[in-house]
Amino acid sequence: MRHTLFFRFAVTGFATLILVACETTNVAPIAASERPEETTDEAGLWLQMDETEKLLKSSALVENDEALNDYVQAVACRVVGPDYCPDLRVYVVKQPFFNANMAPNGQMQIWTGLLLRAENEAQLAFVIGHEFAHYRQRHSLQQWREIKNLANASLLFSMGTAVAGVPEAAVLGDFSIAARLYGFGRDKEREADELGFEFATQAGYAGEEAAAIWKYLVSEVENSDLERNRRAIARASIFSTHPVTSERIENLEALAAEAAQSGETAAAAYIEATGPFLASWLDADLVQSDFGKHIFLINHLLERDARQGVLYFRRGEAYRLRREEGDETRALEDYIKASTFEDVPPAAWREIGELQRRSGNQAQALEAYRTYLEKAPQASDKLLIESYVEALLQEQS
Amino acid sequence: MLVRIVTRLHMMRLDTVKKATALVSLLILLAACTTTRSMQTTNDATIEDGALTVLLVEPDVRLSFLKASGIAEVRADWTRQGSENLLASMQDALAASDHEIISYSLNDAKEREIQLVRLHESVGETILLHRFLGVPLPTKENTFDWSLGPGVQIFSETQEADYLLFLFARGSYASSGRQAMAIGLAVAGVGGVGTGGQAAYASLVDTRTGDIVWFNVAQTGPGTDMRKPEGAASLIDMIFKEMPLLRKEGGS
Repeated sequence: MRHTLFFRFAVTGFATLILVACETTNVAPIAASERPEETTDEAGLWLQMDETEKLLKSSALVENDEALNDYVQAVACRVVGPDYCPDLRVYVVKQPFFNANMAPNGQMQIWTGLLLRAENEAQLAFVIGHEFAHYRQRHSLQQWREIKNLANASLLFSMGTAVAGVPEAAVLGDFSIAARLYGFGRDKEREADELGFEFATQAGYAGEEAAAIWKYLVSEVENSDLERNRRAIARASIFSTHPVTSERIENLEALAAEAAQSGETAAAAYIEATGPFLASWLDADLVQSDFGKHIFLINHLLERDARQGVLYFRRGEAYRLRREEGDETRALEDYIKASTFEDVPPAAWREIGELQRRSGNQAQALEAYRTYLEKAPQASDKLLIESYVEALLQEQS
Repeated sequence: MLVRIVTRLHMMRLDTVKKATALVSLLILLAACTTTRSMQTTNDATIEDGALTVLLVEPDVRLSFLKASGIAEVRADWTRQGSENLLASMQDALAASDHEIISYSLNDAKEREIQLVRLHESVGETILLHRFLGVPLPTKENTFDWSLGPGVQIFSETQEADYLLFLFARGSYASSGRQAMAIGLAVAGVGGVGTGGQAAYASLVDTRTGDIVWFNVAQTGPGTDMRKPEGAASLIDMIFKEMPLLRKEGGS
């Protein structure tokens, strides 16, 4: 090629220099109350996460409800034990997706979409255990070092191909390196699953709940309106950062079978702590307009949850907004069903009124509107509903 | 799922690092073709005579280690040293004036303070782009009326002052591997391999209106080093060269 011998020689020289710089990803677990030395790469990661945490703290996305935060933090402390407890700061983040994450400085996020889907405290405990394992095993630091090492490797590869004169190969180089990076992610997830299982079961939670939450998620996604979502569960890509879900479920089920000791699910405590948020979390979930998933979730909650008035009302809302053939009837049925429970939101009466009026059932409409005004005397749409009542009375006379 | 975020945090980190690196490179590029000029507001905001109170807001500093591969890694110890040195240099530079200079540490519990420092970063970047980096805004051709807004009054709750002085500084320092590669590739005819540098900008802000009454930017090559007191002092001298608070003193 056109490159001189000197050029090749020089490139080889730099390559050697870079290789020497390869950093170890084999790090010891972080001890309770341990902080990184200021001169390390780890301290740099902490510094940046401390900065983002300052902003997170004041973010409108963070749920500030004291009772809920105390509850989640208490579950976290039970899982990680009293020594690590002060190192963790759990934030409940108002996002309607099933997600949780862990920053290297001890900042943990639990998203409300996850709290909505967990069935009991044991399932939340496994999620917390999993995230805590990322912290304790210093996975962020390991991954940062992998990124650095791979960036070096990537540079080597491009330099190598530049010398050899095969520019297209650089694309391949990036691809294989990206796949390797994601692959490291999968190993860490597997480790976090296993350690998380250990932490949660040692804290006295029922082992079979670890797989249960994933099994539920798979079935929910199978009911998604979006084909993209449905396909994603089965897909085993080299880019998948987590072990394919079925493999993950198998691993967790095997662990539960081995563990054999029985633990608690603490379902009642969980439902009591999250109950006040059920309606607003479902409302946020509906914003995604994936009615298949959403209705499947509500049906699942209906099976086990005492908050039937809220749940039937929310399912009625989903049908009302979906507007497929027959949905109006389904919605009305759900609103009426909801109205037979103590915890029915007053808005159910307004919706009954609206649907009855549209079907020409004036007497029922009138009664429903009046009940709404009675139950929600401060409603912002009070004047509007009163005008409907007046119009209905005029039509009747 | 549970996992994806861990990666996302990394992406975020890379993004910030990338942004900082880009900014530093931009500033270095700028130095090659333009001379930096300090800007004064065209708003009606004449700086009063007499002794004023100036709050030195805790500088926003981030210093990184530039690896051979081009990845910049934030260093907590350098960041702290740089921050301390810059603050001391600012105090020294202003000590000769008649004004009362108060150093102000940000209160982490006051989210608005943290957000204002971030706002200064954004407004400063915008000023750089549209005033110094050749992307002029037609509506600001003859005006310099940037402002952080009256939200800056929040600082008065803790400490009364006439002016706030913000400083934003970024720096990256190349590893020996990076330096060797830059030199080696340059010899082989491949240029453009950055070896780090430092950049900073400062704003003097009216505490009542939030208007930026004076703004300046400076950058230095790898030669000077704000991790050392002399390096920080030379950077601050460059930035403060035409600062009204200092000039005024000479005139009166």
